[in-house]
Amino acid sequence: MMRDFRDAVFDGVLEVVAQDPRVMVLTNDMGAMGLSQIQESFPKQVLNVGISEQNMMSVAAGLALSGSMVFAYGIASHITSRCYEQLKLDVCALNVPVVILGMGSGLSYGIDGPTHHSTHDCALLQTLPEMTIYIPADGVATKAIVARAYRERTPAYIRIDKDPYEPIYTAEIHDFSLGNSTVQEGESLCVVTNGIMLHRVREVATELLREGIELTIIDLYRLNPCNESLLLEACHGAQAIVTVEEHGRFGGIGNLVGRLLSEQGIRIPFKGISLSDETMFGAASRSWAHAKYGLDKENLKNELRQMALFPMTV
Amino acid sequence: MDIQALSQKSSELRLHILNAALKAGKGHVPPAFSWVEIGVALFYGGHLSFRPSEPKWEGRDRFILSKGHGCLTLYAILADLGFIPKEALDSFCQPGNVLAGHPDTNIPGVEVISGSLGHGLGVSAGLALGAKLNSQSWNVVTVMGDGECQEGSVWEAAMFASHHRLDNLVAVIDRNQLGATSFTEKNLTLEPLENRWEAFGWDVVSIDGHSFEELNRVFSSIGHRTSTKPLLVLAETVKGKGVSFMESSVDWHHRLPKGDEVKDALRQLTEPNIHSGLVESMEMVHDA
Repeated sequence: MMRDFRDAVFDGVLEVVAQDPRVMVLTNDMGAMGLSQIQESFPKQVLNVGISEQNMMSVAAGLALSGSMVFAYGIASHITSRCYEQLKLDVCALNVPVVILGMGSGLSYGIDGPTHHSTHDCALLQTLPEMTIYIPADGVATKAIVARAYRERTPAYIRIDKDPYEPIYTAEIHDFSLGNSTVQEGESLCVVTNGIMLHRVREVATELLREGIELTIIDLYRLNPCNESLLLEACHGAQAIVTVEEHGRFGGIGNLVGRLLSEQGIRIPFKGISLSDETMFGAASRSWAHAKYGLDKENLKNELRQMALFPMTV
Repeated sequence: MDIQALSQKSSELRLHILNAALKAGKGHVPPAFSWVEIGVALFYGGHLSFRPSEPKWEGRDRFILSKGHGCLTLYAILADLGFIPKEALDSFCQPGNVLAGHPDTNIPGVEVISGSLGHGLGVSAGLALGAKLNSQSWNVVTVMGDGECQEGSVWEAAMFASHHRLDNLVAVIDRNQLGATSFTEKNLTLEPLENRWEAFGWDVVSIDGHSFEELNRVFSSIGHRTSTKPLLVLAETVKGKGVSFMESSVDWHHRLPKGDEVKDALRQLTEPNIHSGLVESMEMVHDA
C-alpha cells in the first residue's frame, strides 16, 4: 500500500514534541495534515513564522541558542537556497540543533516550475560540514531519521519526497545509524542510490534478474557525512558502479562516489546517472523529466544492463 | 560609572581601537568609532548583566553586534573588561589570532558570527522569543548599522519581533548616515527611518548616540519595559567620531590614517587621555 512521507515525518516529529517541551517546529506558512495535528495538541511548540525563510533560519538559530531544539519545515528548494547564508553562519557555524524538513525533494513539485525544483539542494548543503544530509526512501527510514536528528542535536537536512512510497524497511532491522545500507546483493553491478530513486532501481533490478543480471543496491540514505568505509566495503568486488539520483550532476551521489573511487585508486568502470543542471522551464512533470534525462525505468534498465554486460565500453 | 568616567572610557577605547588597527594595518576604524558611546553606555553604564570571568553565564543579557565590521569597539571593550587579555588587541588581524576583521564565537563574550549584514536581528529575535518561552529574564540587545537596514532580512525580523511582542529585545541602530562607499540617502533611501520602524510595530526612540545622558535614559528601560513592543533606539551618530578628518566622510570606511594623519588623529584623541600615558607610548610605536 502506498504511503505518504509527510505522515512519517510528522509521526516522528510528534513523538519528540510530545516528550520534550523544548522542541519547536517552525513553518514558513507551509502546511501539512500531520503538522496541523501537532499544532492542535501542542500549540505552543508550533510557530508559523510567515513567508520569510531567511528570518526563519536566523530565528531558529536564536531559539536553539536559548535552549530549544528546532525543526524548520518548508518547501525544500526554498528553505535551502533562499537562506543559504543563514544556514552557513547562524546554524552550521554555530553548530546548533536545527533540523530542516525539506518537503518536495528533487522533482516532487516538477510541474510547479523551476522555482520549486529542488535539484541543487544537496550540492549547496554538502558544502556545510556540520550539516548532516538525509535522503530517506520510505516511512520507516524517515521516522527513524527524525528521531535520530533529534538525538544528535546538530544541524541536519531531511530531504522529503512528496510522492507516496511503498515500504522497504522494517523498524526492527535498521536503526539508520550507519549512513548506508545494502538493500540487495548481486554479482553483476553495484548501484548506489537513495530516496525515491531507490524504488525505481529495485523495480529495474527485478526485471534484470530475469535476464540473469544481479545488482547490488546500496541505499545511501545519509549523504553527508558519508560512511565511506562502509560504502567501499559494500561496493567491493563489483565489476562496475553506477550512481542513480534525482539531483543535478554536481554535489550529489555521483560526485561523491566518483571522488571516493578516484581518491582510493579504485580503477573500475563508473557511471553517474542524474538530472542535468539546466533550468527546466515549464511543467516538468517527474515522469516527463525522468524520460528526458534518463531516469525512467526503460532507460535505466538499458543503462544498467549495458554497464553490467559491457562495462568497459561505456 | 558616572558620565565623566564613561566619557573618559570612550576616549581611552578610541585610542586602543586606533592603536590595534594601526598595528594590524587594517580594520574598520570609523564604523567602530561611531558606536563607541553606545557600547560604553551598555557595558559600563550598568545596563547589561554579564560576567567577564564566566562569558557563558546563563543569566547574562545577550549582546549581539550585528554590524560586525564595527568589531574593534567590541574587542576593545572585551579586552578592557577582562573577557579577553588586554594584549589580545595587539594581535588583531594577525594570522591565526582569534581577533579577526569580523567577530566570531571563538572570542569569549561574542554570541554569534557577524560581518555579513542582516543576520543579527533575526538571531536576536529568536533568542528573545526563546527567553520568553523558557521563562528567562535576560534581555537581548543588538547593535545594527543603518546601512544594514537595506538588507531585506532586517525587515523580516522586524515584523517577527513585533508580531511576537518581544519586549525583551532592544535594537540600536548606529545611524551615522553612511554605508561603505556612500551616504545611505544617496544610494538607497532609508528615511523616514523612524516612521518605518514604527510602522513595523516597534517603539522608536531617537537620541543623540554620543550623549551619555540620552543613552543612559533609554537604556535604563532594558529589563523594565512597560510597552509590549520591541524597542528600536535610533541613535544619531557620526561615523569616525573623534577624528575630524574621518567624521562623516565617504572616504573613511576602512581606510587607515597614514603619516601625518596618524599624528593628527592621535592628537585629536589625546586631550581626554593626556594623563594616561597612552598617547605618548602610541606615538612612539607608530613613529617607529
